[in-house]
Amino acid sequence: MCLALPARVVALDMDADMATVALGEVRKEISLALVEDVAIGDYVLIHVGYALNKLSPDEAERTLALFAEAGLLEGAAS
Amino acid sequence: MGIEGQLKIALRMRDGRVEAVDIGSSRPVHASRVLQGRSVDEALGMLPMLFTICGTAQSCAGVRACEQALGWRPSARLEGLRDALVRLETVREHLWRILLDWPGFLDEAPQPNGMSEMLALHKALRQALIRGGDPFRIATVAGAQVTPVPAPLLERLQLTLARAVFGMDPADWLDIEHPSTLSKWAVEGVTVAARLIDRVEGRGWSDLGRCRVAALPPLEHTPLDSLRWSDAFVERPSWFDDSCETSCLTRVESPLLGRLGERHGNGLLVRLVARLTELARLAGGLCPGEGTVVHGDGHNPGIGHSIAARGQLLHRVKLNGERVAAYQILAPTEWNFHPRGVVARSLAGVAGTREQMEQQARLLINAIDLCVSYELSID
Repeated sequence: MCLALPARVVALDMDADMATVALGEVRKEISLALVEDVAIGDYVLIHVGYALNKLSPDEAERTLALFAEAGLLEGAAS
Repeated sequence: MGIEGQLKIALRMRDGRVEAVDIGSSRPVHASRVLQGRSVDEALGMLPMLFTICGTAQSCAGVRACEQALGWRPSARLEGLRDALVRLETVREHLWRILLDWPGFLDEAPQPNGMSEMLALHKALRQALIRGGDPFRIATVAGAQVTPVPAPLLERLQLTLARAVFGMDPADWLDIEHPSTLSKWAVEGVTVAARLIDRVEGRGWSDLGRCRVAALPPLEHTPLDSLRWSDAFVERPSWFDDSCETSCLTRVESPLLGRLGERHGNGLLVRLVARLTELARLAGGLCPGEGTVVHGDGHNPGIGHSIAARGQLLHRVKLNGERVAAYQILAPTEWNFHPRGVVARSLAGVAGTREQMEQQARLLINAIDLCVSYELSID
């Protein structure tokens, strides 16, 4: 059950190729080594510490709505 | 940020050996309930949104389950295309382990450049394969077309694997039949894969994690509707009261693996070589062939099967008309990380100092392959 969640980029560290992403109240450091041209405000799909690819805001919203409906986002706040 | 759930693996040590293994899971194994009440088409569209990492294998098992419930019969050509797309996803997942995870066991930096190249290739190959329409939707069944994969893309894949993983043409690597030849390849240390094999042999860890565990039999031709599809079964599955393994190791065979298996059973070295063997073989077999049509007899609930990177994946869907009344997914991680499953049994053989135990445990967990993060504690 390999879930990957969309999160919004809130800070960038271009030297380290890292970003801080936010989902709800949770923030996390992730690697940008697998994606290009990421900017603050972009949505990226994250999996075990890496951003996998960028998502459009529409795609991200639809996916997050689905996760919320499945009751999965409650865990994101813990 | 743990919505994908997490496994907590606790080792209790005594006198330098693992005395007990405890595995607890918070994986959201019932997330598929969100599909209840949807139309078949909506549900199939949502599967890859929910399960991105193994989205192709999930979509494949999902559409097969729905087809069975609806009485649709896909063509052998369409089934062949689906299987080819799942194989492509498995290539990507194996490369993730090898290029991003394996370097960490050698105190080397991960190799994101090679992985980025693979992700781009995966996207291009996937697009080439599905030009005729999405093969994982019911509506596509009648008119699906299979187009040949452009040869330059396949050549690029072979070159990427030769450079990043095998240090030679993957087909030539598959010609290695004897453990001594494998050791010679490993000691040259051209790639991270070779260096990890050499490290494992050098430290005497080839047998690490060796244990007795039954392989889950191939389920695609097995009548599965007789299984008790309770919540408890999906959380902790068993096959005739046995906790079986389903993984890369249980589905790959070769003369080299046969010889290594005689010496090391299902130990760490054999697991690593199984992944490399499957990777080399799959990369040479991405062109869709004729698949085997298993479903389509109109049995509701329908059960769909696919061979995901981490093992056999099952979807079970009960339809009420064309709407989903119930949806369950049984993923390979639930078999392998069962509290009495292969990971628990393998870890029971770990010994050494705390630091050695941690390193060995992480190697074994990675080799058996986990798709979510985990917390390891040793007390």
